[in-house]
Amino acid sequence: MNWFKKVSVLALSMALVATTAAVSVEAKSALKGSVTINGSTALLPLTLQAKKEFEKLNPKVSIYASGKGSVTGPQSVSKGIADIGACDWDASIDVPGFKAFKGQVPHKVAVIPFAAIVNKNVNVSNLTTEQLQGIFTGTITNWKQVGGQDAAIVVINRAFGSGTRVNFQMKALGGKETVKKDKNYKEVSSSGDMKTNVATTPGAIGYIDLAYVNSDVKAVKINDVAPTADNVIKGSYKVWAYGYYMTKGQPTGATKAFIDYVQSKAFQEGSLKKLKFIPISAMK
Amino acid sequence: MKPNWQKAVLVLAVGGVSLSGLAVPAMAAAKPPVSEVKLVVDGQEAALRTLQVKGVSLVSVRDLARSFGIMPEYAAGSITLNTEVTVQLKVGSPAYTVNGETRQFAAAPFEAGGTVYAELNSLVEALGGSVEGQGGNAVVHSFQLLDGSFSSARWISGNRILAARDDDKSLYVIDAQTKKGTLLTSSEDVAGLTISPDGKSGIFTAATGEVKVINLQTGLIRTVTTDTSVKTDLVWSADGGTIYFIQGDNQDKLASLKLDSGAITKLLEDKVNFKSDLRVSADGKKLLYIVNVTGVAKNDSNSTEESLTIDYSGAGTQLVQFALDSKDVKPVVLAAGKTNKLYPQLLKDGSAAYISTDPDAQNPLGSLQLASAPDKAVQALPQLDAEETSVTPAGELLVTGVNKSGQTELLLVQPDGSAKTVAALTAEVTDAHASADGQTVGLNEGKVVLITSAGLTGLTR
Repeated sequence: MNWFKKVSVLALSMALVATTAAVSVEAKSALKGSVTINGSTALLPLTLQAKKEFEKLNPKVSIYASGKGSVTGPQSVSKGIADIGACDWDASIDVPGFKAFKGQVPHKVAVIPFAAIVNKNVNVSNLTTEQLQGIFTGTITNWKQVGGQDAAIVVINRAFGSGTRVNFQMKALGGKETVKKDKNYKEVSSSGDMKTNVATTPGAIGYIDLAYVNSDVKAVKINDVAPTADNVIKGSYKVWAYGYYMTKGQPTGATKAFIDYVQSKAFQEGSLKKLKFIPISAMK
Repeated sequence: MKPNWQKAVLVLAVGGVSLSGLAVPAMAAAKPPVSEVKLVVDGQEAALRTLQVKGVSLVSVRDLARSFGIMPEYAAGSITLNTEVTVQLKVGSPAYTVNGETRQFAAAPFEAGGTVYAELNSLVEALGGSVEGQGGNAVVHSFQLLDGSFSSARWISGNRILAARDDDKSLYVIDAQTKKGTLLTSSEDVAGLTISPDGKSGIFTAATGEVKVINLQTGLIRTVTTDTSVKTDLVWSADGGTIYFIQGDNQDKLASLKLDSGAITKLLEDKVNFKSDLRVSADGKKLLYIVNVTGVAKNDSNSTEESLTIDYSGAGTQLVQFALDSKDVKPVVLAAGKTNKLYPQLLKDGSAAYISTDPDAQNPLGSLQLASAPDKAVQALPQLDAEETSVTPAGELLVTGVNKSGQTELLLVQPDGSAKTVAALTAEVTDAHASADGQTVGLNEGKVVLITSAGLTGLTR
């Protein structure tokens, strides 16, 4: 029984929270149904945070999310098994290794900075683009070749299909393909695995979303610029990308409402920043 | 950061307005009878002399000035009222000035018995104030009510309300009695602050992950910890000495933070990602939270589109309870499945409440569920399309929903499901929260309102 029809308002802003209360709300929405989102694992925490807030505004809508790497985002939209494909690049255009997904519409949802990270025993704090190219293509194999100690470099790479890998290749390696090596090389399938492997492997180097960097690993400067949100916004640090929600054509209904919410100033300036992403509006 | 307290308070130099010696133009018409009207000015009752001129009600300028704490000045047949603005008016002239800018009364100020009378609303607004209601029901403020669209309002100490305004992303403190609002902070970092049980402090995380506490009296902010890990869902302990929160890139850990030392203690690290909506019991022995269960996507090692499958059958939300007073105890799932589980709360007896909605239903309604043990949730208030809950300072569950008459109904619900209606309103109300003394604040179309069984009282416009 539909007792009472309510007006849809998606104006959620700063959420004061009482000791036991949750996100505040405006009038409830009459939207109903479900929205499925698959793709980038880097964007998954953002998606689930937005789900939590969106469902309070739209209690009759469910958001179901999953993560398996960026390329699976537009693939799942293409196959019709998800409404939204979360992807760390604009999948409507060609990028190294992946053709454009025709008919898909990109929606920017976040700015994602990436950092080159090394094991804490590595005594190198800065690498140039050329040095990174050498390390990830296998021509530089020892830290002493880049000013560090005499120790083998262990390359930790993300598996094919990773948006982080695509962006690191485009932005940090100047488009150079990474080269799989017979030894001192490993591929991992998630940002969490990347951090764990670099943190626990002496001599290791990898790359990761800046949000994942903590004291377990050391983020190095690239071309003498530190990987910080401020440097991304100022334009001095170049290794970053927009995160996208891809849809088949223009979205409608609950799918559109969810994307609108994620792009709203309230979410961008609120929860998105708390999760250490950078609002899309910060990049002018 | 020091707050940018708004200086809306008028100078409290009380003084009557004597018109003796003031040159007043001779009035040709017979003087109308003077009566008295009692109005509320800044929360205090004030008696103002009033009379009618050609059907227009005028009030004594002297009486109004007194209630505003203004000492008028007289010269050359004009009255000057100095506050943060300068207002000049003349008997018999509909023109008056505010900081030199000319405006018009509908009816000119009128003199009777040595007292000048003028239009209430125009004069109040000229002085920077505002009037709500009309005639004897008018409520006068010596300041403008806050305007704009607000997204939340919570009680803090001293009968005050902390309200977040969308328009400028700022926090304001509103006095529930006088309705006067003052800016607390415009710091974006403060977004999402959680108010302490005593209403004196707010805790929040900066974009760096650092945890900070803001004094809600002074606006001063201090850093509690410089730890930069991701922290969400900050919750105060009942004694205000500990903060519980969800930690980690994937929101997989539960932890606590001592406010005095900044020490962080890990409480649970079970590799279950995407926790949210953390609650802590009043005795600090139980935590309640939501786990957002994701779907499972699979593909081959080459990430081919053909190989990609996604199984959302297990996706949904779980309501989970975790005991802090027992060692080696695992989290207990109280409720699972695909329904939305919103507004989880811990009740006085340690049981949980939440609103369940099934989006796959033909006409999904919010169902208030009370859960005391796994798979033992029972529906309460079946007559209500439950929309929100909050917990009062006394530990009662305040539920807002739409009843079968289409009214917004607020009820206090006990753990056994018994309920008492607080208010049933035709107006739509959201974000209702009760104060320690039983007042209820909420939002109506973006305005902050007090909610009673008699209706809504606007605190903003």
